[in-house]
Amino acid sequence: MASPLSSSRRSTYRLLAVSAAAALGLSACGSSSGTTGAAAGSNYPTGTITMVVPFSAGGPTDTVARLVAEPMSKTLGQQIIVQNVEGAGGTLGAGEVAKAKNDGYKILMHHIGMSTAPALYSNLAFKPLESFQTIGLVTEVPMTIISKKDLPPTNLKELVDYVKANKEKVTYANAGVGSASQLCGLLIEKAFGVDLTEVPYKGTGPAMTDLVGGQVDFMCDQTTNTSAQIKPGKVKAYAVTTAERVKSLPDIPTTTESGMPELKVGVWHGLYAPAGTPEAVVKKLTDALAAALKDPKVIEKMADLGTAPEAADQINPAAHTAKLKAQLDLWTPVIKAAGVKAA
Amino acid sequence: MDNILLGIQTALTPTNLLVCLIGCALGTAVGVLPGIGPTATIALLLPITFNFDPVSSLIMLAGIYYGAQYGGSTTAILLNLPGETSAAVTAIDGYQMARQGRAGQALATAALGSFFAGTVATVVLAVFAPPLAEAALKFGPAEYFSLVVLGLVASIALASGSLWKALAMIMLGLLLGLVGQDVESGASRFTFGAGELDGGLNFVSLAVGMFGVAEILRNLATGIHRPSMVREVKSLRLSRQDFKDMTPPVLRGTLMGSLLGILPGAGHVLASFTSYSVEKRISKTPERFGHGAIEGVAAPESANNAAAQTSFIPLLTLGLPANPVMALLIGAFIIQGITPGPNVINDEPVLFWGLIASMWVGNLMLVALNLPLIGLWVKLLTIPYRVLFPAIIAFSTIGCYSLGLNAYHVFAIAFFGLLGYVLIRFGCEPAPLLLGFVLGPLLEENFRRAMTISRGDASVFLTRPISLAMLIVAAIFLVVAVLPSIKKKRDVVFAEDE
Amino acid sequence: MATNNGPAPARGRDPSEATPPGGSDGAAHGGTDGAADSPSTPSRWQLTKADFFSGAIFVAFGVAFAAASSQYTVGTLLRMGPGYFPRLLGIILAVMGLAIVALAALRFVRPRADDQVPEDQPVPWMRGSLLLVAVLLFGFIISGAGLLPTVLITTFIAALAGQGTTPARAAVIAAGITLLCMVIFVFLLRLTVPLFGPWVGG
Repeated sequence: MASPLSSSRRSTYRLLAVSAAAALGLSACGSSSGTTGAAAGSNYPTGTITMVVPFSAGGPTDTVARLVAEPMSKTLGQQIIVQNVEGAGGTLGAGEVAKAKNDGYKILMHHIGMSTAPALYSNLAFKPLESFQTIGLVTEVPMTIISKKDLPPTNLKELVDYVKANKEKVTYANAGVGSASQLCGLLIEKAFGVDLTEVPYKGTGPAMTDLVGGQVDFMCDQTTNTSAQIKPGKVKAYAVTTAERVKSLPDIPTTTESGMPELKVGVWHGLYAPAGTPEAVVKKLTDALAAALKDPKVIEKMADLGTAPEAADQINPAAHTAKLKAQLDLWTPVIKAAGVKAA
Repeated sequence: MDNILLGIQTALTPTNLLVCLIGCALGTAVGVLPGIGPTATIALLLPITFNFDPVSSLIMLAGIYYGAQYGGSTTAILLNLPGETSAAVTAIDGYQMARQGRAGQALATAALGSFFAGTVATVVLAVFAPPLAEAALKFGPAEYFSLVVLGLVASIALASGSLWKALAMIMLGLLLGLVGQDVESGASRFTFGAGELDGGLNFVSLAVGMFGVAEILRNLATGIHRPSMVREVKSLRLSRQDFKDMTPPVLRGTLMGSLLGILPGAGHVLASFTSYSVEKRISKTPERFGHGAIEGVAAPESANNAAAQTSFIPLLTLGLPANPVMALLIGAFIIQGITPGPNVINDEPVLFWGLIASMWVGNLMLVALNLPLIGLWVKLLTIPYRVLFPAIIAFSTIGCYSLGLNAYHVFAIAFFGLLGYVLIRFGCEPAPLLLGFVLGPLLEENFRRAMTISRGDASVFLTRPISLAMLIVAAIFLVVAVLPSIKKKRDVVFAEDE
Repeated sequence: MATNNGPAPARGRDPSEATPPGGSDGAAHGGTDGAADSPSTPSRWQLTKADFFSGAIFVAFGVAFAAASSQYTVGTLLRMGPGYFPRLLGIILAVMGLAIVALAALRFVRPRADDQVPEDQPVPWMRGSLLLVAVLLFGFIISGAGLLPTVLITTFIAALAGQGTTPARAAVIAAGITLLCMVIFVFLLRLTVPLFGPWVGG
């Protein structure tokens, strides 16, 4: 080794030695701050909370999570970091939270997929009712049946006739296995009485791009994703899948009004902690969620997206568990009958 | 004109200048580190930006995005450690330049090329956004399939060795890209039952392994303290000849990047690969590519930055995301109470034009930020290698693990480090494999989609004009690529027969 | 097993002249003059070894992917199953690998005038293994041990792979890099990986 380098090397080592000492000091600080008080739950939270979203950043579920995470962290006095653990139709992120420490520092925002996963995946790493402690329901996002803008039908009835008459031609876009749009597709097949030719995409974004571009004919997706394209008329909307009309989209009739009351589905979102999380911690999280859902800013932004916070009596573990049970019972047979399977 | 003035006014308020600077600096920092890409950073910083007004917050997030495109080339050039697709191309010639003591020139070329491209692409964005976005919507699955085929054929030029080996590497890359859950059926393919692999292999693991770790393994073999590293850093400045060499590639790269960037999904990925291939194809001295050709840095860097800029077009004019970062920005729009979509230009002129003006300001800042830093970056090379390589390993492993906290992404680094080392030893260059990996899923998905929509009629690829045109160009490329080697072999055969 | 070459008796190859190992085929641009003309210098095996091996690797991967695809539905051209594409690509890859091997065999029999011997470096068995073990270990212990111990241990092992790095020096290097990583990833980027995992009471 040449001599000019050796002096620089010596100084590098000295720097490293000093750094090492500092590292030990820092690590000592780091370890004490995090988790100590959590077991009792009385002074929870004392550190950063991670909210896992099992879908990609920027998607509809991610948006819902970020909307409530912000005011919740204000109530709890600790930062909530939203973390996207995507993959395998949301089961990967859910599995991660299921096996996390049950101290309330890792929570999960999941949607209707929690109730469909057991039917879709045979080797699931968690059991929806047993692996999680429910915290409360968040919102139920309506879905809209939409088509590319130059598809001839003008209302849902005509759409049904059109799809039936053009079985060989019509394509239905969905956002992949386990997505809300795929579930809605199953209901549409039942209600329309026709087998759809489905064109799957990786997420709602690319599916919407091809629908706007007229590459596929129609789809059914959450208002969080479709409002932006419905309002300026880039796509044609036929119906909303809720009992009542959606406030931000007042011109679109409901499926019931259009004579198809069985075509009713909402993408409900719930907040979960790992099973066995102390009651006091769960209560704090529930209260923070309830407060967040009363925040006028959250209400306003949800309204922009065509949805609304759950009613106050739904934002608690009992109502959440009841909903999860009912939905598991509803979807398992539908999916099994359709023969849809992942993995 | 009023609009542009409005935009400049918005971009030049002290607050917006500051957030733009913070965004650019942060972006450069995360771009330099492998693994922590712009997506993760923006996701992490989203909550902080809630406290800003919408325009400022989006200016900052956009700054992180194009700052990261900028910073990504730095470690690729200095350490052969590309953190993302586009940087993998820059690494081919950039790292060779660094090995020849021209790291400064390589970094300066990247910075200036990016700045020029960014400036042009900003103008494109301001003037042509709406019509271009409409044109991009003409691209259906059939067109994307043909575009990907064209990109793959063009990428043969990435390798300077045997044609067959390059083709085989592309095939292997395509196959590796298919690992994970099948979009259509949901079946987990080639995952050995590990749910962690359902999301597929990670590009960063692959790139860090095949480029970075494989290079370290090769350096460990030489038994020299500073193997293959710079022994002296010559002047950092670009010579007149350098400027002459880099100008045409920058112009072509900018043009190609601006156009490809508009296409959601495939465009941004293809920009840097395609522009590199084109430069090599039209060069009078293609043999210099892969051995430190300045054109091989200038073209992909400018194409990449131009594409980064124009990939905002579908987002701003149609509310449709061109890539995961754009999807995240849609989330940011929504949280700020703005519905992204075709209405943004009319309903939110301050936001639209302010963001565009800030992009140019941001590009200026990036040059101002990065040119002086070059000297510092090059100093990085004087760190003893025995300290440097463990640091590379540490950054790479942490970076890859942080993407979804998935240990399999770390195992993949070791696997592909070993595979890359072996394959490079046997004369197979890794770049075509990486491109194949990125394009594999696009190729399959779009082919299957096109076939489903056309009811199994494969003629769609030939009856749709855009698709047909691209397939013809691809065929011409392939013939041109194969011809010289056939001709050469024939010459050799004849020479021996006589 | 050449593990340690000692403090490098300046056998340094000039990096700028080094061809990438094995760039044997088309890369040789017109270098037909001079030394390469004498056919006896490089053995034929040395010339074609890289092609034989790389071809074999491609065949192996191709066959493996094609075989593994058989457990998935192949489907028809209209409704392609998950096995269709990988099986097709796997077969193509295997064929390409065979082509590479065949071309190498042809050259073995009949070397070309412009063939160059690929540069052959010793394989760093010991130090390479240390490096890869460090990376693998990171994956195995990160969730249990947490970020700080993991980085410290794996960087230490990786540093040991360095030429002439003693354990003491490796420890210093590891500690310094660990600090740097903590500052960058934990304090600046606020990574959500816990500093200490359950194994060390975190």
